Amino acid sequence: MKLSKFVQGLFTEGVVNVPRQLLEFHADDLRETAILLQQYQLAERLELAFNAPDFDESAGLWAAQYFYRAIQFVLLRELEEAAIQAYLKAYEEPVTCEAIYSVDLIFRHLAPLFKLSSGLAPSDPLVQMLKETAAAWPYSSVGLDITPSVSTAVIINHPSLKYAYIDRIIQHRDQKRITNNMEKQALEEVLGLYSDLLWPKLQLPNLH
Amino acid sequence: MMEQMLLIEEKYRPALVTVRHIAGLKAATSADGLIWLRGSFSSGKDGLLIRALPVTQNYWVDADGRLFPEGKPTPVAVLPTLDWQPLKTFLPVTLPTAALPGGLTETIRIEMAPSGLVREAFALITELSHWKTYAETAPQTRLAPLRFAASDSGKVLIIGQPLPPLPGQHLWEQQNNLLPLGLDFDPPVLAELLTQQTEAAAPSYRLFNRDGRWEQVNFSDFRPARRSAVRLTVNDHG
Repeated sequence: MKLSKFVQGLFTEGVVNVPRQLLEFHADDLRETAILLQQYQLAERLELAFNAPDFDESAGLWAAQYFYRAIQFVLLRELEEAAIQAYLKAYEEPVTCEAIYSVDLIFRHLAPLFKLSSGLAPSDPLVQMLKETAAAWPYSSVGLDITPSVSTAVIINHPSLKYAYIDRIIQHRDQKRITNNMEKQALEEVLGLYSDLLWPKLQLPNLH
Repeated sequence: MMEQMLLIEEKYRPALVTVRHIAGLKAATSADGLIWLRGSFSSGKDGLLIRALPVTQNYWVDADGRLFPEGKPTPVAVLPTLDWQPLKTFLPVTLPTAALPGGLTETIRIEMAPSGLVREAFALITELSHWKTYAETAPQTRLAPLRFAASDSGKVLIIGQPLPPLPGQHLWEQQNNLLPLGLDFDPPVLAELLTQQTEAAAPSYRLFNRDGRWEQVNFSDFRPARRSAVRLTVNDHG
């Protein structure tokens, strides 16, 4: 299945198919995928407060390919760990606001991927790798019981990403994501005087 | 000549926002609740947007109205008679019903009097410009509990809790009557009388001015306060 078809299926129905072979993606397919991501984010950015970050094509494409391969490796257990290491490479560019926004177009679907991999042993190298990736992208992994391995300062310092991140924390009641005063202040800013209404029984710890 | 026809479930209606700018597209709703979309589905960027729609069924229709599934030589149905509309007209989000300036012939003389009771605000009438500014910068957590109906005159009626901190007229609610805060019917029993004598064709609120005049706002005129809906509504009001 082409990457563009995969992304289209993910965006429209949330249903994807992957082949049994680790075929390389053609340049035309990658171009079409980039256009799909670009078009999709035009609609998505209408839902974000303030001005959403610009679309980072290479980050979006990295996420799409990573996600595609991750599903393949979850389903095709006969593949060697070396292949997993070779295909599921971490993002190597600086993690900017633009990268976070663009990767999230795909990684917001991490939850079903985690569910898909729930049948694997917790110590399975693939499971560990997926958790590490989710921890490296805290904006996309809210609600997955993942402790971020990176600072959320880039997110909190961008008004658009900050609100979307806190919105997700509230939606998932993921209080463990509030780990410092910067995040706590952002949460209080969003809840305002309506904490009891918007997040009943919330009790924030004293943070430093 | 064959024409392409896409079927989309009603729940995906908001997705059509992404293609409403494409010229020539028409849409209709069939009796079974499905949205039918017809037009020229080009292969350029517009074509990609069309392809990104959550389509349930893809048909080709011939001159006799017979429907052929994509890639199949045999028709499986006949195109029903539908009320086709240009997509811009079809999408409620693009043309919110001009709810606020409407009205009904009054059969009861309504008097208002100051009330000493403290009541919680249920709704807010404000300017569309204020609403747009708020929606541009508010967290989704604060928008999600709200619904709004916009009028052609640039006013917007917002309901939900908590209401946004915007200037405007706050209203309280009693038996679907929306009254300015600080006022009540004189006598208060008018609320029940009104409910009995003004049976609307559709579920609706009666929105009262300070002088007792009122207008009807149907429940169906309200849209969820999605940021995109507010932004597109403002665009349509120029």
